Amino acid sequence: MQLIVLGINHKTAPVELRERFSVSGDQVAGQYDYLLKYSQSHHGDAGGGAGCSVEEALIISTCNRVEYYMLTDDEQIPLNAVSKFFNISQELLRKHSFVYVGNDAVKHLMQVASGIDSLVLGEPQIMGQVKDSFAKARENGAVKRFLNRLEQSVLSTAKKVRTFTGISENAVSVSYAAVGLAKKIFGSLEGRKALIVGAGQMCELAAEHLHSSGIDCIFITNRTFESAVALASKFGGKAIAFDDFTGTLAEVDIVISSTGADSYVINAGDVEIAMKKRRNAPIFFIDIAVPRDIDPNVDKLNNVYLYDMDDLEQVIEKNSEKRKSEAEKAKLIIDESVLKFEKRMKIADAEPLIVKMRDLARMINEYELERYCSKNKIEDPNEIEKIRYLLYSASNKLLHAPSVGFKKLIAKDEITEDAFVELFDINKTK
Amino acid sequence: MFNYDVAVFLYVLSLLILLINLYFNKPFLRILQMVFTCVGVFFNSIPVASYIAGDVAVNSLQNTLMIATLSLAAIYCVVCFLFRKDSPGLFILPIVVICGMFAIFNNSVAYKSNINDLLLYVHIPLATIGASFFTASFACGIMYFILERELKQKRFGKIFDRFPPLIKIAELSCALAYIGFAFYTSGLLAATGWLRMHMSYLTSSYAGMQSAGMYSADLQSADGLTFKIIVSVFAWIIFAIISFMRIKVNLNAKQTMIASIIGFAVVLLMYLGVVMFTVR
Repeated sequence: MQLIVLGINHKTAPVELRERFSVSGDQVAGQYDYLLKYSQSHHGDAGGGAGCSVEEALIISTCNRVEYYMLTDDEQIPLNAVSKFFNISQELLRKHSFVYVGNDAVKHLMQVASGIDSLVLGEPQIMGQVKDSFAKARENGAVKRFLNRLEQSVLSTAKKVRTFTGISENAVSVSYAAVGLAKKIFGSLEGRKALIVGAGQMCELAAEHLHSSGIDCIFITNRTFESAVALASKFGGKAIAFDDFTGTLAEVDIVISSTGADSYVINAGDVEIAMKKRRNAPIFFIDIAVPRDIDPNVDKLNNVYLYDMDDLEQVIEKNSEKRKSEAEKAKLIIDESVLKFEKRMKIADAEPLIVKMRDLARMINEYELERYCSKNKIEDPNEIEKIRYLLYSASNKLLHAPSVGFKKLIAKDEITEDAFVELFDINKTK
Repeated sequence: MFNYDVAVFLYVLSLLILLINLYFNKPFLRILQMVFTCVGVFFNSIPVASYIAGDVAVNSLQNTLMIATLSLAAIYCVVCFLFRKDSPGLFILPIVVICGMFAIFNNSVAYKSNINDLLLYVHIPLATIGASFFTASFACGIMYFILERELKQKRFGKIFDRFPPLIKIAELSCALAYIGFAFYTSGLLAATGWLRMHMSYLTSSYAGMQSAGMYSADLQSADGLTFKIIVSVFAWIIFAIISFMRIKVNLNAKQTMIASIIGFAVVLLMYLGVVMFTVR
């Protein structure tokens, strides 16, 4: 049995195709049921007959990827099963998917959970999504010994990557970078006030980041007042009329603007008046609109910091570079984890043999005990128990070193299971 | 002096690591540098503790500089701990190292005379610690202007990454100036008490002073006293004005930084005055 992954993601397939594979919450149970019952003969016929089957399965489905992890003997099973389930030709699926086998599949899952394989490198949500996927697989009875151990390794590796590398430290989205810049001026945003001019998607994202950074109050203004009210209610902010929002400039520390206006909505004169009112306390402007919303002359004023899209892109580019270099460190951590997992699984695979060896010892002990007692006519149970104790302690002590040694050697690939079976004559005796 | 030599050596190492880490930016180097500084503070505190305990006279320039290096390095450790950034060391550690070197190579010997009493022993550490806080406040002022320039010019390089947030630097500088002012004021009050006690000696003729049992060093010291008093009081007034304006007039961060730098210039002038006119 080996782990095989068949996946479709943002790198291999266009969104139109990815849509066809997306798995909704209701469909998951049916899909697991299908995979776990799936079996095929060596000719590739699906259903019912004797042949290779899927022992354990895991489906990871996010907006950018759908991946099927299966523990099976036949490398063809994932391709056949998935193409049959979605009624898609194998050629098309093969063209737009990837397949990894064994350690490569384990490595890929660790990379996914660590955010290395994500569209936005190091994005933090994926780890939670992988955790949820394991939980769903477990609910559907698709997680057994192998995937259980794999889950532990994958999640601990992802945590390690986040702790020991800066892969998710630097902002790589415009709205997040804007908030990051604000933090560079103010430090913590707690106790600060922000004004958002506009109520579009960018403004919503910025409001979300500001809100999660603990900002004290968010004012939102928009030409359509209802949109401002809707956005404000979402983040516990305050909607203000577009006609007189410049009066609020004296109160706020951060201004983020993204409207579709053709001309400036904030002029240097407005800011100059506001600065006098706020006794020149620093104010931070982010203009993420194209064409720009804020008069560039605002930046010439003292204690005023204005950044536009070009500046933010500069920050994002730099941060992306940093994340890429951190990803290299993360890959080393993952390689190490894959090796550790491989060793762990080898040891786990060896355990049944050790159990068999001890069973064999127990059988021999009992056989010899019975023979000795009948030959010497020993019938006293206390006497028999004493002899049993002696036998078992001697054999346990004798078998301890081979048990530990076998685990060590098999992890290093210095012994095979066959050699162990041969040495202790396990199968023959059985 | 052995303990102090070790302390200065550790400060030098710490500064070197800080400079090297400007290029490499490795967390373990940052930790190592902090460890060196903290251990340096420990070694530095041993001779200072013995002076304050009264074993040795505290009134030589060497001893004063030892207190200055100890307080500056300790302030740096606290600042690093608060901000998790080592960049303030770029401005504070060179001052620590220069003062430390000067203390090591300055062979002035502390002396005891009739006018050395408890108030003088209290005055010198308090005034020195106060001046150290002013120095750290000045370092933050410089950091503020450098970071402000980077932010205005939209340069997101090493300075942008390694410096604490702009407003936090301003707040820190202000807090350091306030604490320094409290120490400095206490030091000046102790000095005033000391002056009042010994005014009759210090204003009498040399012959009179000698007859009162004063040493020749005291006599030389008395010459520069007027200059020292004027500059010290002037420094106190400057920081009093800064503190008042910060609270009452609500100075903005930039104005406070300018004031801190002016205040430090006055303190520096005071030090120069002390060194040029009153050092024995």
